[in-house]
Amino acid sequence: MAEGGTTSTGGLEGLLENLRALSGEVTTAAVLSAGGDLEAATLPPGVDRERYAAMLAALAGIARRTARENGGSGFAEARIRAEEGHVLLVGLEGDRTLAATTEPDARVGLVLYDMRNARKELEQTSGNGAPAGSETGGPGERKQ
Amino acid sequence: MKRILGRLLVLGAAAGAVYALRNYLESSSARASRGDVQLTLDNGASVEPSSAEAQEFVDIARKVLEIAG
Repeated sequence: MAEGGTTSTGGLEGLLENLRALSGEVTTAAVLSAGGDLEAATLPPGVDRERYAAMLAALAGIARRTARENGGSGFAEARIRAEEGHVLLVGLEGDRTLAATTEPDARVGLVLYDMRNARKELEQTSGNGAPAGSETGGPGERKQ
Repeated sequence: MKRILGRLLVLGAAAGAVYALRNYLESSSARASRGDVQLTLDNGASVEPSSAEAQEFVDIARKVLEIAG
């Protein structure tokens, strides 16, 4: 297993790395499949990937449940603030989820903006790293 | 002897009170407050979950952040 930095293979990890490079306040980023499996993640060394994925999957599950209870078919994004930082979720096509964690004082709106910009490319890239459409070069520059 | 036992009793009660107060303060500081959880649905609507749901979100988010280091 990878010692740190990115885990998993292919285009997804590159896109997540681009997201982290663009949003310096992102501490970890991950893409979860509809089944809650970790498709790719950028994690520091020593992080328990299975637990991390399980907790993120639980969060995505509650977000979907809450969305349905409130008349939606899913969630577009969720922001959760805790003392230790923020957990941000962006819903992708096919019930996949883009997740990111930040420090407590991060500019969450900006991070979510970058996550939304990365969404399209992430949706076009499957979990095995094969781009399913156009060329992928990362989320690109932030348009202010 | 009786006096010593009495003092020990008072000391024990004080320690218990401090312990209970500390637990109360710790649990209340970890409690989700309004605005901690914001959800945008795929139809564009914004939702603020109930306090019980928000607490569930925050508890799991804390674990994610703890694991992520």
